Amino acid sequence: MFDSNFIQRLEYLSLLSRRMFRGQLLAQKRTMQSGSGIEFADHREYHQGDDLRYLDWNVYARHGDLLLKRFQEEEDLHVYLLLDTSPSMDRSDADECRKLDLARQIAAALAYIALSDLDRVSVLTFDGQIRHVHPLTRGKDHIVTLLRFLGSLQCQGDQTDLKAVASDFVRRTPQTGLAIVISDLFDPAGFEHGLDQLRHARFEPHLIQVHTQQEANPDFLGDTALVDCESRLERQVTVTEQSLTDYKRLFDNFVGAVEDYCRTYGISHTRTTTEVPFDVVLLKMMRAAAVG
Amino acid sequence: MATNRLRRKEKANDSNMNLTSPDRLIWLWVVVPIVACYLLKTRLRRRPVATLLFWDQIFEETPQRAWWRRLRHWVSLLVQCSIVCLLVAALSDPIRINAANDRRATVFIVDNSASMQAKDDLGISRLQKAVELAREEISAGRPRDRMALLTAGSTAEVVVGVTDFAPEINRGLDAIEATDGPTRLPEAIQVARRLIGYEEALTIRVFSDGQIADDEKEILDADDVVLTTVGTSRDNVAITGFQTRRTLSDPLGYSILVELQNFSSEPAAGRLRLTLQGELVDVIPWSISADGVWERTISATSQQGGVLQASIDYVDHLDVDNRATSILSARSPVSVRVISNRGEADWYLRSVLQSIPLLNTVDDRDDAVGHGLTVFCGVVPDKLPDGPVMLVGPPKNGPPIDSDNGSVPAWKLGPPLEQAFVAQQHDASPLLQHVTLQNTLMGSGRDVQVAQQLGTVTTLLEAADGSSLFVAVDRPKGRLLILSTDIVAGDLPLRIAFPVLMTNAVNWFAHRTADLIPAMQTGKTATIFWEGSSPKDNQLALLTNSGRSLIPVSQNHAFPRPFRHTGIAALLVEPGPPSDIPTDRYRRLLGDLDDDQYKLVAVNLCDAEESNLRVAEAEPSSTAPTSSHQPLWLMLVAGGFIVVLIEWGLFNRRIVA
Repeated sequence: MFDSNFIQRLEYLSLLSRRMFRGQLLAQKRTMQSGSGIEFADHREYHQGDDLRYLDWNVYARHGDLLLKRFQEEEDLHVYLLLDTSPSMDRSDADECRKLDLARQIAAALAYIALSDLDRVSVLTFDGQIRHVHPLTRGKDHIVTLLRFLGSLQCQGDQTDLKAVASDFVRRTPQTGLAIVISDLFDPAGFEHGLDQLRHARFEPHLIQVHTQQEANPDFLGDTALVDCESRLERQVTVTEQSLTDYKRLFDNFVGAVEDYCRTYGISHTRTTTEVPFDVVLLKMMRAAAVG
Repeated sequence: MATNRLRRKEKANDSNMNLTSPDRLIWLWVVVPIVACYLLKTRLRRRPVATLLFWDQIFEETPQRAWWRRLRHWVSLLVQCSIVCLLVAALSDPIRINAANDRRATVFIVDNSASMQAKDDLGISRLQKAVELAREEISAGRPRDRMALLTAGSTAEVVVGVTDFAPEINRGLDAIEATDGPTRLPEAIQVARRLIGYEEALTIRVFSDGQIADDEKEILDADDVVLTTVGTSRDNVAITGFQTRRTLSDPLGYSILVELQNFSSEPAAGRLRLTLQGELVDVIPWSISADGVWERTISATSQQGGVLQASIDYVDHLDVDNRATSILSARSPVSVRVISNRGEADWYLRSVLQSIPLLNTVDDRDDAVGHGLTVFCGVVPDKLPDGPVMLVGPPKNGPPIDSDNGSVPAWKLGPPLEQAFVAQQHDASPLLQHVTLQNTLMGSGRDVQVAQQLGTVTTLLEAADGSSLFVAVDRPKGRLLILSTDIVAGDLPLRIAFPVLMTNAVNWFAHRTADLIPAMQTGKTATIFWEGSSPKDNQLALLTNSGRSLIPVSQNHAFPRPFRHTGIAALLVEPGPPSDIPTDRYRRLLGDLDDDQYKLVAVNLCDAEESNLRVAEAEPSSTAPTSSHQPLWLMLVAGGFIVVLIEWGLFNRRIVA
């Protein structure tokens, strides 16, 4: 899956991202915390107990004021890739890749870009809970390990429960950062609760929604037994043209709700289907971020 | 009222259903794969989906009734099976059996008259076309229909009686042969009505070219008659009249009456060829205008008799009327021996006899064997010779003959009558043909009383007092004529009429007749005069091209059935050869018979109506209603269509709605 061609395409995307965003996308984030940085930021009044090494003696000599020099510290960005591996991600249209495959490719691309920018990247898989965790890594040297991890992923588990996953993720991750959720968002309890948890925990969530064309526009008719691949529940229905029309309406409403939510809270949202190549999805994301 | 109620009740009881083609019910097996497919289909196909979120919302919004969901498959299966059953039922063509109303009878009348032999451009005769059309009608009929088959050529004949077995009718159609007779459609229609009776709905389907007389065409307009006209109009020239007879004045002469008619809108010309026993008699050119008639009386002489045949060398579409035959009686010479003792009378008598053609007088002293007639003039023989004998003016009683009371004279002569005027003559006798001797003085006439033992006596001339002046005796050993008068002493009318009287006598003795031997017409009832020897059991054998049959004879008249074919037929005294003997052989057998043991009869068409091949442009015949109700199969198909609509609705409800 992650062959040399794929790696070349990742490298291309990485270069492209630097040119387009000049560090605005993922890494090279700066904090206003004073620290070991070398770039002067401003002054503040000296308080007892402050490190006298940062006292601006020149100002004191000229004006007699005790001011403390503050420096802008560069901080490593933490990128968390939350990858949905619930059974619903195992679906695919005919002659097309599975949703999980596309999700893995997107995750690999984002991780490659982040690692290229010396950001720290962690990958977590989830369904009803967090299943597998690839710990934070830094540097492109770990890309192979990360790709191997991604390649070993399988769809399994229970129904998607973003709320429980987000709660667990927030609890076990003290360092905030980008939380990129790659999922079909088919959460019976609703996707909003999970994203709310991330926002409230000061993570910067990004959403990549993946679904198949068949899920958007089903074309089967007649009597059939629909089986939920996650809950294994079966429902015997008679699918009519009217039913299909209603389905499409509901699906469009669902997609619209996701977009409205992301727009409301300033969350980056990208929706794609399995027929779209991953690099096209990435470019679409970059282009949207550049415009925004 | 009570009768009507009873009829309605019977009708209700008789109403029943039956299948015309029950073998087609085998198509019901189609239901089996339908049911099998449905049973397989009821096991719903499992389709995995990523989530049921949206489907749950949809079907919560439009809940489906549980009972309908459970039953709809079976309802659909029931509907589809109903469709199959309805269509198969329609295929098996069910019919209502209603003895009161729906009994239907069809009588097929195929015209096999002479005109039906006319052929079209493809060489297909009208009869073949009619049979083909009749066969199509029969195949389109219902097997329970009662049918009969009649032909209407020459005579109306029932080929197949009433049956509901169509193959029997088809076999009857195969057996129909063309006849040379005229159309007998009115008679055939009457026979059809009598055959079926008036209790059932009768349809008479007539297949004919409609060549019947105008005054008979009304019957074709009857409600129960459906005429199917076959054939197209054709030009034709026909011999519509042909008769031959010996002339009265000349025993060797004969006359031929020929009539030709042109049944076309164009003039026609040709030649008429006459042959007698195969030898050419004459060839006469003829020319007839459009729709014209050509008539000729042709005279010829011939001692020989036989078959006289006329034919025209004109190519048209009907051959049977291009030739005609007739029988000409032969004339054989008769030897007469005259025994007389009266000079003047003898001279007069010999002169009269010599003036009669085909009569040879021999010397009275010549006792040659083989003479036909012996004439005694003024002389009475000691013994009556065998064979034909004529006595003129016998002077005394006849020679003795044996009887139960001993010997009696053959005849007794009364005294000479003073006024021997003829008061009464036997006009019906051929001996007095063309002779009228009423009130004629028979000089020296005497009453002749013939002994009963001698034979059957017929008084030909009778005086006012009842005396028999001229008698004929039909005796076993030969015919006898006694003229009691002296021909020289007789009145002038007698002497003038005497040659005719002698001619008649010679013909009578020779069993000749100057009567016309009429040529018969096919399809017409006629009697044939029989003057030959007495037949056994009053029956004669009739030999025709169709075979041999026995016909009754009464009072010298035979009564054959109407002839079906033209040609020469023969009446035989002896029962003819078995019917399986070929015609040419019995023709040879005829040559071995004596002249008085058979008689030839010519049979011709000679029917102007039949020779007119122009078919009237009839209006299309309205087909008689086959049933008062719509066919059940049509209703079943309509029902099937409705059920298909129902199933379509159910499908839409399942899939589209």
